[in-house]
Amino acid sequence: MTTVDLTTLDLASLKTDLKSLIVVECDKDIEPGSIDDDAILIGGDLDLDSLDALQISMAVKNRYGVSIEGGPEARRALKSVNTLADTILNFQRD
Amino acid sequence: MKIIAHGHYAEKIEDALPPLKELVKEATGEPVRRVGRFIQLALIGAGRCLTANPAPKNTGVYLTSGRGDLEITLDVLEQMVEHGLPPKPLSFINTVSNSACFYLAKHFGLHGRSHFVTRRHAPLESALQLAALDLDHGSLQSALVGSVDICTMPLADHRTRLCVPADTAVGEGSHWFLLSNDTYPGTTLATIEAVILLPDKDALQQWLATQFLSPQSPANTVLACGQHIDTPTRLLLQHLTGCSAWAASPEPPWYDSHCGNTLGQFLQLRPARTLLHIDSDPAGRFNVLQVSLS
Repeated sequence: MTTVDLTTLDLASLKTDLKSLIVVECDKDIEPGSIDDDAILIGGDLDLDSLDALQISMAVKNRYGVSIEGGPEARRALKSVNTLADTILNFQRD
Repeated sequence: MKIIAHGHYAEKIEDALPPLKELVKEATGEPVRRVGRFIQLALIGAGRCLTANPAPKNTGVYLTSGRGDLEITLDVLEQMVEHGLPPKPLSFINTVSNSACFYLAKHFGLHGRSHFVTRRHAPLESALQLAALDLDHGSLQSALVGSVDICTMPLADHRTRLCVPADTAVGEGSHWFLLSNDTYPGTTLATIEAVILLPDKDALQQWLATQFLSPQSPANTVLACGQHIDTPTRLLLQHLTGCSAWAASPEPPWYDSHCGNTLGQFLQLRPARTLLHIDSDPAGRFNVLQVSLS
């Protein structure tokens, strides 16, 4: 169920979109804009855990049609908003 | 079985579901994320029960509900059946009703056993029976028993699920009682004299006959009928017991944990020494709860 056309989304908009997705899916009481682009997502100051990682991965799959596989790939992709955005855009280029 | 403390949340739902996050924060002292209304309501009711009376760490948790976490169940089913997608992880985890007990144990520091039991009719009574069994056998010294039911939108669909008429006032509630066995040395609010399931009206009549041998009994007892008791049966019960009819006021909206509301108001308002609460189910059985103030 891809709802976002990545060809029409620039990098800044994608990052803004991802921050909102993280806040909603992980039920965090913070402003999406308060998440730094390079802030550590899992195990960092945001206090997200592996269950949040799974929730974000599922939401990214539903929203952007991009599967984030487990293991090293997931750890790399979910390191920060920057890496998550890169993963999504790289998937589109491939 | 003694009642040491109680705490409640009950709300009639009309246009929209009221937000609960702030109430959860008040009840637990911290924000709780990744939980739906069912767990939020459980935390609010339990928190209010334990505010002035913290439970011993080895207290057992007995959570019950007539229909469980409808919100999460509907979310998961819609995701899978309507959209053909796997359920979201957090929703899927919370379809296990006992996950609510995890949050209760975590936030109130309880290390005892935890159970989720459900019975469509008389859910609170079913949990009280289970807790009584464990308290009587000595495997527990105290138990936190709660009954929770939530509303889902749209209300028309919710009423259809409840099998109630379209104009029925519906709501949600969370009713909690901290219990101990009869050896508890501290101050108690009341004693649960009986919580029993009787197979039919004859058995109920026989049981009632054994309870009202003293002429003083009816004067000291109020009769509260559950929401499944029809008017002829209500009148018959009043005639059989000789007790005054009593009901929570204002009348609670329809939800399965209704009995908890009545018991809570009885403990708060103390309209008589003893409460006799009777409800029926479609199988013709009767659930009886008898509670006497300390």
